[in-house]
Amino acid sequence: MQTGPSFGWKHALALLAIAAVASVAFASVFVYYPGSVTAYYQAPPVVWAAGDNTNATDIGGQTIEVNVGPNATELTVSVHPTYEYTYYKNITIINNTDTANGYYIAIRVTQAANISSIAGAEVKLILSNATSTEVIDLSVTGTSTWYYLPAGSHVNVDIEYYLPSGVKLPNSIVFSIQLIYSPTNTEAPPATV
Amino acid sequence: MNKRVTKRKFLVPLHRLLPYVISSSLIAALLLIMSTTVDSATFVIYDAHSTAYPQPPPLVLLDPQSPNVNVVLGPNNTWANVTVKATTAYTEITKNGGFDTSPNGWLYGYAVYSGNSVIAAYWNQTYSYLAPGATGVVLLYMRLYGTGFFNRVNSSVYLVQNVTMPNTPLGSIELNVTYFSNYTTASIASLTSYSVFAELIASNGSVVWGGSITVTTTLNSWNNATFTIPTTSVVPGETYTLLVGANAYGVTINLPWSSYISNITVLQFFDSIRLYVKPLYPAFSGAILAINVTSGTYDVGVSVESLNVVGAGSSNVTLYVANLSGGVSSPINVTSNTLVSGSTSSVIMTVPPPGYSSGLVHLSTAIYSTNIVNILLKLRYSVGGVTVTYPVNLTIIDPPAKQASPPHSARSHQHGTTEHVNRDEGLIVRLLLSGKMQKLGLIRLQRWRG
Repeated sequence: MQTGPSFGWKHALALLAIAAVASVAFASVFVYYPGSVTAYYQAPPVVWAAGDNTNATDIGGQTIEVNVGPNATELTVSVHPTYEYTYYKNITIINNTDTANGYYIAIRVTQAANISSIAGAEVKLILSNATSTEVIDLSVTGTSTWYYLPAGSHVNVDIEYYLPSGVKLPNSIVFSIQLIYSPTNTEAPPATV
Repeated sequence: MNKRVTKRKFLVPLHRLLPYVISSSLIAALLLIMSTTVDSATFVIYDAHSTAYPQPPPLVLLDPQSPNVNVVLGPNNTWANVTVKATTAYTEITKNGGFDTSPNGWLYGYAVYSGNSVIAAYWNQTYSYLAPGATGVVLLYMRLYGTGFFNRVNSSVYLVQNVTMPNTPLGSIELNVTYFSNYTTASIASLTSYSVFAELIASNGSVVWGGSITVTTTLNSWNNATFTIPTTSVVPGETYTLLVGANAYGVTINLPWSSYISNITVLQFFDSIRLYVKPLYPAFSGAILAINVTSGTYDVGVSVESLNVVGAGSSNVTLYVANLSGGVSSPINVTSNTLVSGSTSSVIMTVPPPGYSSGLVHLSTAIYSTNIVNILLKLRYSVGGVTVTYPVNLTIIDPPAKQASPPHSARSHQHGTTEHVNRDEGLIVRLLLSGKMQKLGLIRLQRWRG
């Protein structure tokens, strides 16, 4: 009694032939070596920290609001600039708490300041210590060059706004950046994270 | 046979090449791994966000409305172009030189050299008797007499005011006097000389300059006299006493059979006494900007961004900031075209009472006549951790049109005609009785040395 389709030796031979051809076409050699990765989490050696003027008085009776977040690995800033040049000095610092190792830091502008509609307007971030200054244009996206932060040192962070007289003041000016640091400066940081 | 052997000599079996292929591959892989290790890096990335909420300026710039200052303010009053005209025009340094509404600032003195004299001084605001329409006239009264048969009489009476020379090299000094002279003689008396005189006396009492005009030929008319005072007579910045008055000399004779006292009465009127000085170099001193705070309290100062002097001559600039309560910053200083001090200190400014400004930016400058001084300034104000700066472009020029002579008062020019007065000393009495005269105060000075 036949309960299904017949499956004779001819069919088996055909499948074997197909498998043989496929084996030739996709054949690979896999060699496996044993390996393991262990991550040892540690406190961040480079952190945001309060500057001399964190949460200091802003113009017009406002406050320079600076929050470095938990673990000091996030930063949010709220300020109140006006016409012409408004310079917020040392509102936060980038602090290398590692007293044995220096690090290279860079600033990546991931969201440019929304001032493209205001002719001549500028927003800049200034990194400075006693010997060097790095000015980063926050009106365009991009990544700055490396800035060396010696062991146990810090760099001051300033922000400057320029709003030409006569323009209509926007409701807000927003920008987002990333602080990138690395033990070496031999390679560019990854394009995206 | 040999040929075949030769051919076989170059044929290598594949199984003999396999070790070389494997070893080469291992070396290549090792190099690749090594190069990857050398270029590898660890990157740690933190996010940060900022939001700014722009707001109207809490401090604005205003035009102080100073003479010889042109202020162009930008929109929102957050920048300014300031042009200052430094001039060599004459400036009056006497106070209330026209006596228009009062004799304030003036005193009088007198000297009696021989014989006797009755001296008095008066001020009249509406002295229409002498000059219709004129206001503010001073009268110096002097009655000279002797008690003997033959008397030489000599007295003087004068107005007095202290004046301070500007503390800058002076090009010229001129004294302009508008006067009306009159005298009468009673009984047997004769006037020998009558003059209007002026003097500058130093603080040590020495007369550094003196001049006089004989008025006996110009009696009973209003006249203008200009005295040129050598600049070498004075020291810039020093204070001097200015005397302007009348000096009379004559003879009186009292006859033995008459009790009448012979006398000479002098009525010397002054409508204006103005001392002008002209700086040697174009100069300016005053407020160039007003500052108004609308909210908050700020430290305010000014700094120099750039300095450009066009021309070879030497120019000097002093600029400072002052607040409503009298606080003054340290100055910006440009000496001989060189920036000596490029920033002021800061003074505190806050919201002022109605009708006032929070502060002023003051400029004092003297430039070489052909120079143009351009200074790009930044007015800054700060609080907490923020500093706002406004650009201020300051240009100091010497305008081409210069004033060649001291400006005389418009009212003085009205006095070109002769008006006769009643030669009667009773005039004084009548004016006093009518309440139109105010007697001046007396100041005791050293005797005038004619």
